Amino acid sequence: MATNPMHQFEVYRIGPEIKLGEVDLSFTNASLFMVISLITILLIFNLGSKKNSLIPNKIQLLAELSYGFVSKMISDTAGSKAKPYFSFIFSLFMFVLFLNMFGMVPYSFTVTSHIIVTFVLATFIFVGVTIIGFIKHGAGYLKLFVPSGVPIVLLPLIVLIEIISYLSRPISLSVRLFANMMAGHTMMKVFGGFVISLGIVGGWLPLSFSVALTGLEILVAFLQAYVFAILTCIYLNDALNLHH
Amino acid sequence: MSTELVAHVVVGTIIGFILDKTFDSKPWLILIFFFLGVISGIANVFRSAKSMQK
Repeated sequence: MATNPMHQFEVYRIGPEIKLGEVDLSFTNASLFMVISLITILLIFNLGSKKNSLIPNKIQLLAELSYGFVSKMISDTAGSKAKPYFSFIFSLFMFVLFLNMFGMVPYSFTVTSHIIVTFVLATFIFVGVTIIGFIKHGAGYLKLFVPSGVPIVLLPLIVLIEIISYLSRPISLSVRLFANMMAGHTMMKVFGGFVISLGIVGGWLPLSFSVALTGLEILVAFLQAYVFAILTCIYLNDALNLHH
Repeated sequence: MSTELVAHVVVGTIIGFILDKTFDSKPWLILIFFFLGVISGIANVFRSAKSMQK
């Protein structure tokens, strides 16, 4: 087994090479883990909603709890106007959560530890929210960049600052998820390497650290999926209820 | 929150870089937009700290 802590983030091809012109569309381990988490989500919610018994079994309870959790999160942060977007935020939260959680299984691959995956997700959210804002408010959506009660002299400066802070949303959203996942997994691998190199005498300390870090990483995996979803709700709230 | 601060600076610098390339005004716009990014990052951290206290 390679002791290089960055080895776990390597993307490699599974199966034959598929090329569409210049674009490489081969099936990689990243796509494999996306498919696995997608199938798991579909299975859980299919089985959970099959027979709606009054006393739920375990899978039904899981499905109902996650539904209620996301539904409450949306109504708390974005209000009742955001109800039509429930399905989008719910699938987003579930997808990121399962990708993070499957990354915690030993020898697996964490898809969200690649900046391109999180950046594409964040860009879709950013573009979608901007389009929703312009559809709902028309050109009045540009008022988002002009806070009320600012003297005329400072207005150009404030507008520039607001535009920068609006454009930095997808970057901060994607970098947060990516950096947390990658840093955590690298740290776990580094401590795992310490166990081997210190041997049976001094290896117990990094081993116990590694166990504690695993618990922390599971917390981070859940928390980052939650933060990703709740920030989407906040951006949606800005687009739907325009008040400054 | 720390990533937010960095993201604002990065976005400001990228905007300055692109504007510099289009207007051919090499060092000036990137400098101005770098500091605008710093200001907006600090302002945003300030804002979220304020909303957290409520």
